[in-house]
Amino acid sequence: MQERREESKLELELKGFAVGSAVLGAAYAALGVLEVVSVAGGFSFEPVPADAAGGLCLLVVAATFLLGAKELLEGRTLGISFVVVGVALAAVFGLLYVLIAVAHALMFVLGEAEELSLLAELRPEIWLALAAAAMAPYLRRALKELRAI
Amino acid sequence: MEEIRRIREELSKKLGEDLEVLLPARRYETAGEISRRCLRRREERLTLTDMLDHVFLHRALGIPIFLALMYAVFQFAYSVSEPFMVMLEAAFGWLGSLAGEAETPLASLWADGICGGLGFVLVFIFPIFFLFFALAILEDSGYLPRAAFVMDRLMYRLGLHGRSFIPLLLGFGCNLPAIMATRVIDDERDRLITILVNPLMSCSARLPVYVLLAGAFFGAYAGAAIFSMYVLGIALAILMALLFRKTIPQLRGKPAPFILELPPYLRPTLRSVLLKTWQRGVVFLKKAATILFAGALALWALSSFPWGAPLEATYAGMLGHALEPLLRPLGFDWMAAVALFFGFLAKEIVVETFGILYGVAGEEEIQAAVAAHMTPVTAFAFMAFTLIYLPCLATFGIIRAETGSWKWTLFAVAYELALAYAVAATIVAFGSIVWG
Amino acid sequence: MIRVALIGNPNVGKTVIFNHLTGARQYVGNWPGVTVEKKVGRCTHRGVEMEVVDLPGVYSLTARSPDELIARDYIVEEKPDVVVDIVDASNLERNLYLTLLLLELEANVVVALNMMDVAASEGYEVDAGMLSKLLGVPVVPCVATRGEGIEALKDAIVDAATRKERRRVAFGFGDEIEDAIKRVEAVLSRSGSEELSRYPLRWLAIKLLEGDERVEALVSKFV
Repeated sequence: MQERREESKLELELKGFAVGSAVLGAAYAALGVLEVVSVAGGFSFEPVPADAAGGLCLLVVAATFLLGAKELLEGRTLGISFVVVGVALAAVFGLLYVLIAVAHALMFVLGEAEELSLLAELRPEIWLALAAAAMAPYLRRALKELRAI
Repeated sequence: MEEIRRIREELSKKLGEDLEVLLPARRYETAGEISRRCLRRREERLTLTDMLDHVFLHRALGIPIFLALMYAVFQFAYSVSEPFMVMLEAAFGWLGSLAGEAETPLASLWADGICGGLGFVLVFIFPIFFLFFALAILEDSGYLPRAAFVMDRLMYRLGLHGRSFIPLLLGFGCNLPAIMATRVIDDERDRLITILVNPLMSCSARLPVYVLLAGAFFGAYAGAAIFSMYVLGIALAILMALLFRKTIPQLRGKPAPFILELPPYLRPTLRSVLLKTWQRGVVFLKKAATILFAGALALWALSSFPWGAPLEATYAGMLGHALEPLLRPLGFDWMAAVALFFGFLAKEIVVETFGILYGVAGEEEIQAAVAAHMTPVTAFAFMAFTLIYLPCLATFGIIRAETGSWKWTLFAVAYELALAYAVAATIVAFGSIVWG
Repeated sequence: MIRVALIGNPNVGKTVIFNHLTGARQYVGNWPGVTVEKKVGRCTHRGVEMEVVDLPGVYSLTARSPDELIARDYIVEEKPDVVVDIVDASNLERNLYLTLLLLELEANVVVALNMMDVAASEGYEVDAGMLSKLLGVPVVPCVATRGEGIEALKDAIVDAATRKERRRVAFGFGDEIEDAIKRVEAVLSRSGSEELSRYPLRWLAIKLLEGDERVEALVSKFV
């Protein structure tokens, strides 16, 4: 009896991750599409740049989250792996663009760049990574419960 | 014997599969069955390695994730190292100006040859070290064997040997150890093919050329332009391997199936990552002290004498003008011809040549100077040409040593020259249609 | 004196077991014609003298790589009295592939089930008795790094070398393939070649179906 209740609690948690993962996946997909489409359309509105390759990377992260949501909703525990990797990829790209923003700031200080727009540097990769990072502590707890770490 | 062959073909047709693959597969099934019956898991437990492999080895997602990570690696190496390069460049500029106006040979040697040529190449130590740093993290974490695994599925379908992917990947650092690493491939034919296409993997010596040209022409897309060179290299390597396998009689046959060990994932330690970065990066510094230094001296001499003559009338100018007709169809001028000619010694010399030639000519900003001599299309074609056209001298030597044959070594040179010309011409032709 | 060959996948602790079996009594040479190291050692157990040959670490026994050919040729041509197959218990499935190939060669196999500690730390329990039953050969669990199971392994080697009856377990490839194997066997035995009868018939047939270049060259001389 005791054990069954615990199991259902875990199941509920996994469903929660499915929802979170789906929302993040949708957000990544939307911004990825936007970055790619703005190249083709020749427009861009800050802080979403027109960047085809960067947009494709966002779509890869989106696919990771969405596959995770799908497997979790099908009741497959292993689906949580996609959420883990999705958060990791989000962190990699978030960190990358933070570092690039710092580099751009340095270039400005060195007088090599004429302007520095804070808005342009705050690329979607950065704030999406923050959103994904919000899930990390819960994910860590769930993995402990699954005894994966 | 005829009868045996007939039995074999009959069976193969009936089962619709190659017996060379099918029989081992059946054996694996038996091994799996036995092992399942003898193993008991004490506790049903998910390991982190199981979880990560579930995603990184995913049928559809494995390769996209690999490409996305590689894109991040090259963005990191290019964009984040930029300010450091600017600072070092300024330092060399200041050092060069110490000798005053470059009116005497000695002052010119210091300003244009050493600081302008060698110093200009040394600046690229930053992207190279950044690249090695990022690759070392991927390697130490245990991800790289997974990348090889997902690529193997693709490559085996294309008729390539999966174990050749790790040597190919090593080629991103330097083709020399990468070609030596092909010794892990058992089958002679698979190994030969891997050696032949390895120079197409873009080694770090070519990175300075991309960084210089992409920075001058592609602005915000510089990172993507550099990444495209690496992807072009991989794609050409796969295509060429396929072509050789299909057309050259000595290389025909099927790749041998292979087993790849997938070690557990580990958290990389800073110490080990820095150590790897240093060990690989220091090769560049050694090169700078030897061949690049000698190259800078020779190029400076060629482009400064006869002393006082205008650049076009110097020895370098004569050489360039002699070679120019060959490269004219691609839109490369005589300076590019000189750069490519000496690039055979080491590909960094391509950049060194630009530094010295423009320095002697008295142009201040090399990127601006390059931009005045090329269009974005020819610059892209030049990047591709540099990627493909020749293995460097050291790689040439190791191909000779590892294949043990002059025939294959010269074949590698010949096909790469032809391929480089064809790809660059295609880019120029395509570019002139699209952008008029 | 009994002649023992050690074989196994790379990194399964083969060298450690070799050192345990032979102690200081080893010498190193080269396999004929190739620059692959050949290690041979001797020991005496229960009054029986043994000569132990360390074969190269391999995953399979094809004709494609020099290492695999050395191992295979030694077993086929020299016919050692006992072949000790060292199996990594923490990687059972992959290691058993080589074991199955050895059984196809009709070698007198003793399985040393090594790295039991690693398997345990990964949460696995390996049933050595069941493995022995399924394979039809003796299986000795050991942890070579701690010297556990070495004496039992020596016992098993001596027993296997002196045992007359051998249990034979053939692993099938499925009806269609088995049928073809039978037909190839029939062709081979019709040749009545003295030379070919030195080799296990079923093994020759399997290799011919797999298109093994070496066996094809051998057989085409007689058939």
